[in-house]
Amino acid sequence: MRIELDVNGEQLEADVWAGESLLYVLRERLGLPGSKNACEQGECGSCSVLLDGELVCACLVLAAQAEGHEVVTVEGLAGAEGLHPVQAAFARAGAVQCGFCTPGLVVTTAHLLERNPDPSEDEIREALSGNLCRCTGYAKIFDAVKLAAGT
Amino acid sequence: MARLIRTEKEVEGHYTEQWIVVDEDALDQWPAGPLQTVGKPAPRVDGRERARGEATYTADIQLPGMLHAAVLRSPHARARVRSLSLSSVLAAPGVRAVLEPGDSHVLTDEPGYHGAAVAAVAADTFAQARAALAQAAVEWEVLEPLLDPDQAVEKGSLVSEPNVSERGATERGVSEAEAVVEAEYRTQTVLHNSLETHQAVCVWESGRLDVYISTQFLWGVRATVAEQLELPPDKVRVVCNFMGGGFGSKNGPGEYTFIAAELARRTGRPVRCALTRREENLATGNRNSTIQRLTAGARSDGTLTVLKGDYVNSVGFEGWSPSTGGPMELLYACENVRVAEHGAKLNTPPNAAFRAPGFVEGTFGLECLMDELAARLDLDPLELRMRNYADSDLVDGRPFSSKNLLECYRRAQPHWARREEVRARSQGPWKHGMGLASQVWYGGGGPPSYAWVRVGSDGRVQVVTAMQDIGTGSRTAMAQIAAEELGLSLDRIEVSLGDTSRGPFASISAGSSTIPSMGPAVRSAAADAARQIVEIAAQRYHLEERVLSLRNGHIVSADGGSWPIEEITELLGEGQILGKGARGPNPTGMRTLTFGVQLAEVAVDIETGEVLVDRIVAIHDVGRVINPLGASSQVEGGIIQGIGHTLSEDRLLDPGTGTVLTQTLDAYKLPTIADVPEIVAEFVDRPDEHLTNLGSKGLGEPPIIPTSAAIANAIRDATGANVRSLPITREEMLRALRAAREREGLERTAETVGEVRSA
Amino acid sequence: MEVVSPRTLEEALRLRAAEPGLMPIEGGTDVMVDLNFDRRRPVGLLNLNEVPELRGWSRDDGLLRIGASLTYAQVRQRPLADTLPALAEAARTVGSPQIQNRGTLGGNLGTASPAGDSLPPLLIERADVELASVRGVRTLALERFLLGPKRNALAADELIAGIRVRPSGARQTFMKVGPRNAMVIAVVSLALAVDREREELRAAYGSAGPVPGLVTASTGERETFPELVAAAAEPIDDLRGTAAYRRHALRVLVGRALERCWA
Repeated sequence: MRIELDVNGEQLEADVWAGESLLYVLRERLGLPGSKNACEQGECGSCSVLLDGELVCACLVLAAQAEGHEVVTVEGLAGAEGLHPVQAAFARAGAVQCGFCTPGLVVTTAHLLERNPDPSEDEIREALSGNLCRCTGYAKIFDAVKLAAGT
Repeated sequence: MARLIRTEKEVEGHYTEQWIVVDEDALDQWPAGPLQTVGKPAPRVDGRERARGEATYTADIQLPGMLHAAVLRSPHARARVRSLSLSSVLAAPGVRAVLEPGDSHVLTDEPGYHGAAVAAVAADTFAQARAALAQAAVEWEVLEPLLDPDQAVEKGSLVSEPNVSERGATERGVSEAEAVVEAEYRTQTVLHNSLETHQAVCVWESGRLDVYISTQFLWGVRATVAEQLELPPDKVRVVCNFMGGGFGSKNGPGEYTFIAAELARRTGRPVRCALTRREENLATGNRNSTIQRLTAGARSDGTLTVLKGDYVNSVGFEGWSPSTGGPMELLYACENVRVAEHGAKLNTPPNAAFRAPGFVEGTFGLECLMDELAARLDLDPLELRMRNYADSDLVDGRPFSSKNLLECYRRAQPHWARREEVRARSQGPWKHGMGLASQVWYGGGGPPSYAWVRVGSDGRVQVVTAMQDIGTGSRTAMAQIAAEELGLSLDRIEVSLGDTSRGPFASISAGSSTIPSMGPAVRSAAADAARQIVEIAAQRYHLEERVLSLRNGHIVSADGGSWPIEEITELLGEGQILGKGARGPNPTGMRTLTFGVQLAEVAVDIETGEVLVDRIVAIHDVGRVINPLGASSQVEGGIIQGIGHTLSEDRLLDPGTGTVLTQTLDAYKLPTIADVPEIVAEFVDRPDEHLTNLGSKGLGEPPIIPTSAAIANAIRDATGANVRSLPITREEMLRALRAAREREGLERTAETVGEVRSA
Repeated sequence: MEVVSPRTLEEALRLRAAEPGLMPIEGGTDVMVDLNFDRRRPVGLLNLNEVPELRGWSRDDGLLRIGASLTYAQVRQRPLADTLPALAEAARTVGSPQIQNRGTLGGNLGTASPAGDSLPPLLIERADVELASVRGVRTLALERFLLGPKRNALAADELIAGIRVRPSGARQTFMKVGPRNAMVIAVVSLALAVDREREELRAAYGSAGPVPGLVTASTGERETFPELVAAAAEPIDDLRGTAAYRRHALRVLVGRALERCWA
């Protein structure tokens, strides 16, 4: 089936199989591989995107369900060049190791700070609890969130 | 000059003796402490690409006409394929080729573990490939699996001869002891779960094979693939620019590479074989479970008289038996030590190196045993460790190239002094306590490894070497080293890596060896380039070379002259300065090890069995630290993996069938940001004066080694319970508490009986 | 396979009746996992995201009507959270923010997992499930809706339209023991209310029986209530814990919840 999606402000069309997730369509059909596929069950948050401004796991959204809604991926956070303040903070604070979880964490953090510009430690823990990172031990991710909140 | 030497090479605690051609390493070490760039925190040079989601991982590679493979895996722990028909698979929509046992050496019709690859298919999409595989008609003869490691040892089902080593006389050691503790410890099977699953994309082009793969060792993949496919190694190109974690599980090509290569050969198209998370948790290796039957004996002053360890590693169907007894042999100055390691061959998924294999498990047993001994002797656990400090390697009498564990202990003391205060926080069902554990591991790296440095007329530098950055920050560390040697700022250095056809041989990124193996090669290449810049400058300014050096982007002379480096490099025009460097030999006759200590503060809810880790202090001795920012991140990452290993991670098998029950991340619990304690990371940061032109050792593995024992010892401090089995689930915690209460009851009864008798 | 996205409840019910093989999907947090893992291959999917009648909640003379599409994130918002505090607490622990933003109460009811986090808090409030079909609307007590592990009383042509509940105003709480600090499926969970007005203690457990179960007693039975709840549960041994541990933990949780809600 053919669906139309509004991704990062662009109207895109894709031929999809009905059971495909938004994540699959973004990565494999629309050339947007920034959102990562790591668990396929909403446990790791590597595919976090914004759907009508809400933080969701793209692997748990049926692509067809996103039709008529706005999707923002990591590729759409900053312009073609440059860094979103959260991306800059992640790079600066050393919150990036292998980086596979980073796009999801960046989207999640951007979403958090939009709603809560000065989150407490506990609020950060809660907001980021759905994004697994196997490398950093999360300490530098805390630093990055605080750094981004201060900018 | 090239020199031919016979040397011991160590990877992950594996030693092999081999001939090796090395270049001399003529450079003096830099002074200790932070320099211009080295030793100062540096954010990732590639942080921007990674944060923007632009870094291209193997998972992101899209090639025109690329097909997708799916693998049929054994649903049984042990079985024989009676019959297999793939005709309806081949007829399914989108299918381009199928493979069955016999078509590739990685496919089997007698699978020995749940998840062993049996057949494979390539189709236009992964969903088609997977749907097609469901059409496979397989008739299985299910066989009785061997799952019990003790039984395997008894039956002689082993992956290799038992490894037994003894020094001194342990019987005498036991008789000389005034206190002896014996205990059995168990550790569970743990899965790597790198976020990027194991995968490869293979493309054939005029007899040449390109392999895009998520790997820790480009050259190892090249060698193994070339050998297996009977190709000259130069016909195999291996590429990995960004990779999403490995932790030891991505040291070789894996079955997926061979499946992709064969399907690509048959279809003439690029083929991706990417494992799903469920396959990842079956067939890509694991930290094997262990049983450790340990004895420690000491005099009443704490002097160890004997250490004995009988270890069973549940290796699985294939794999190798890690050095679980290593810490017992290396950590303490005990004269009488006997270690026996058995690698049980079972019908379970094969193990793979996982961040300090053997030593993580062995340190849990040994360091808990030491605390149980300290409790028996009524000695302070830190004091007991310092009394048994080893000044040289007692295995073969070699001196250490450097060892600052005593300094780690000294720095631990102010933290250790918090113990009373921590205990006093106990309230209601929550009991607080503190524990510590020491760490020993390898991490010296070794030759061969090479790097080139290219300087252009714009005064910018490219470091070229076919190493890989597995996420640890190798690109950044190499850039820092080159920047330091050339007196340039970090932003003028670019590091080109990740492609065997675009650079010289480079070390594996495993065994904490990347910085100690690659760093000295990069420095020596940069020094070679710097020497050439100085030679040209000497001619340009009519000065002697010996009065010139490179600093802050300038060529400076001893008499105060200073010229921007571009003044010289622009003379090159289209020419370039090419520096060449190699990793020199390891110090002869010395043992190079890393050391450290960690202290844990925990809270235990004695009613539900919940354990919270509040704080971990980690003090490690890894020689010179190149990038303190990356180093502390490695420590934090190691600790949180250690916490997962200690409290929540557990690969579970069905006890009857041997099938894996925990294949997904809702069942296999990785730590989240909510599980993170306060972490304090400190480094002794003293260069190892005998080791290379840098004096740096590796840090990938040390931080995960002592974490579980430190936590278990803190739990004992908090509750009096001996937790001897990982993971410390709620139930395990309650079981240990019950055992402690029973023991206390028995002791009290015994005391009463004793009192009655003495009365 | 196809996806149909009805725009009204009426249209949705018509499609449901005409094509019972269509699998209803709301937040997708359960259904998508089955699709991604190729565990189920339905003939098609009935996307309920665009049905306005399933959204939001309303109050009429003390009776709350909650639409099946209400997400956990919405359950956590005031004033609803003040009205059903144990449900709001449960919503907070159900999973990550990503899951809370997509997962719905209707979906949790539809999945009918013994570990469904929203079920114990709804049980202690004696909630009813509103089931709609082209035949009309019926309500069923939640206790009777839940039939067994992942089995419910939904007829082939019905959709879960919402929940009806008369909030008791009793002090209540939700607690959960999991194998790690955040985002976990429960080893055992508990919702408990101390209802002074009715002089009643109500507890409902999750992950400790084939379905979440409700246990009641008079407030005079406070001392024995932990034991009563633990004895009423029918836990099993599984990956996440043993029956013995679940019973023990339930006893501890009931004691703690009583302490919290007694004042």
